[in-house]
Amino acid sequence: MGASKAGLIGVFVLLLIVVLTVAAAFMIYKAAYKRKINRRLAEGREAEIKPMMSPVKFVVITLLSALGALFLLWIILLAVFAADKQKMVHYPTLYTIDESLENSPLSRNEYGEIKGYRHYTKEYEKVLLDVYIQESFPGPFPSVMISVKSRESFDYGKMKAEVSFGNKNRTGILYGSREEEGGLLVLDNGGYKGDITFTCDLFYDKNAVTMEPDVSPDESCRLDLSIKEAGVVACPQLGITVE
Amino acid sequence: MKIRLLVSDEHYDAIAAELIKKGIDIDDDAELILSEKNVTVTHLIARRGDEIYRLETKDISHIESFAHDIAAYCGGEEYRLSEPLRRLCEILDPKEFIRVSNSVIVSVSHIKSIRPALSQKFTLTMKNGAKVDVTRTYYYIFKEFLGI
Repeated sequence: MGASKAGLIGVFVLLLIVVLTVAAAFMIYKAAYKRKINRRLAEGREAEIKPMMSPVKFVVITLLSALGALFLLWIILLAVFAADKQKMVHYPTLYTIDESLENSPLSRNEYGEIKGYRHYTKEYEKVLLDVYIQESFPGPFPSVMISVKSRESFDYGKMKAEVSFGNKNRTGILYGSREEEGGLLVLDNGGYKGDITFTCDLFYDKNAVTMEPDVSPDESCRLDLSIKEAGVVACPQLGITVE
Repeated sequence: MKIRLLVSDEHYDAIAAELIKKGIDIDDDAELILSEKNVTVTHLIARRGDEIYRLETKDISHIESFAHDIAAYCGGEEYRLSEPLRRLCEILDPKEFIRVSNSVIVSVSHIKSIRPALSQKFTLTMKNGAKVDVTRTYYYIFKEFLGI
């Protein structure tokens, strides 16, 4: 709603600029036109003065030309940005939802069913993954949400989540961590279509230095997501297959 | 019988003599007019009150029609003419006088300034201060006449 309102205001401002420009041009032209016809009057009919178009005709031609130029500019911008958009690579984003959402359906430990999402669960030895996959892509909300909850009453130390994805041009890894119990990770595929691998390593020792290569996680979770056209998601670990 | 002659100066005497011979009086005030084709007049007979005046066309600023009255403006004064506007268009010098509306003929040499309007009109300010509008009907005629 906000975007459409802003768009309308933008169009209005643009048209206003065109109208003001044409009005200013008309005032200048009218003054020149008046000067010319009075000069013709003073110098007589035989004077070498080329006829000028009337101010009304000038306004009509100028306005049509301005609108035509505006339309042409719009077409060019459309073509340029559309071409740019096709070259843009959309990368997934991984981030955590913090306590600011405590009273919302996305707050930790209050997930259950979330409207607009399909709910899947995956059990591990000590943790439970609640996976929420958006029913229709794209939308304003995250495409995939993953909750990592402990199945036992223990305080696990750290969680290191990674998302790896690949396309023809690039492969990237994203990193996020939480040091508290539970937590909701959000994976926004950002329009990316293809294979995304989500891994979550859990370190039950709070003092574990997760960045050290010789520190092995106590538990690892992995989801292989495959995002197809129209937002259809496949994930063998969750039992979601797409033909 | 009285007749008014609107002919060129070179033919005036001969025609006048011929008419007088036949018993026809030449009177500038007569209602019957004998005119020569493609001849323009250099003066008009006008009235002001009870007096009759001979107006030189070069002194006439503009001629305006009010219902059945035709008024000629000359030297700051208003005079009454007997010819209809359509007739005046035919006998006045077309290089000097131009019709700018259904009711006004102006003398171009008496125009002080021209102001274009937004629509297809001009407002003429005459040298005697009078303002006359060139209406839409005569807009292009006037433009072409002036060459603007």
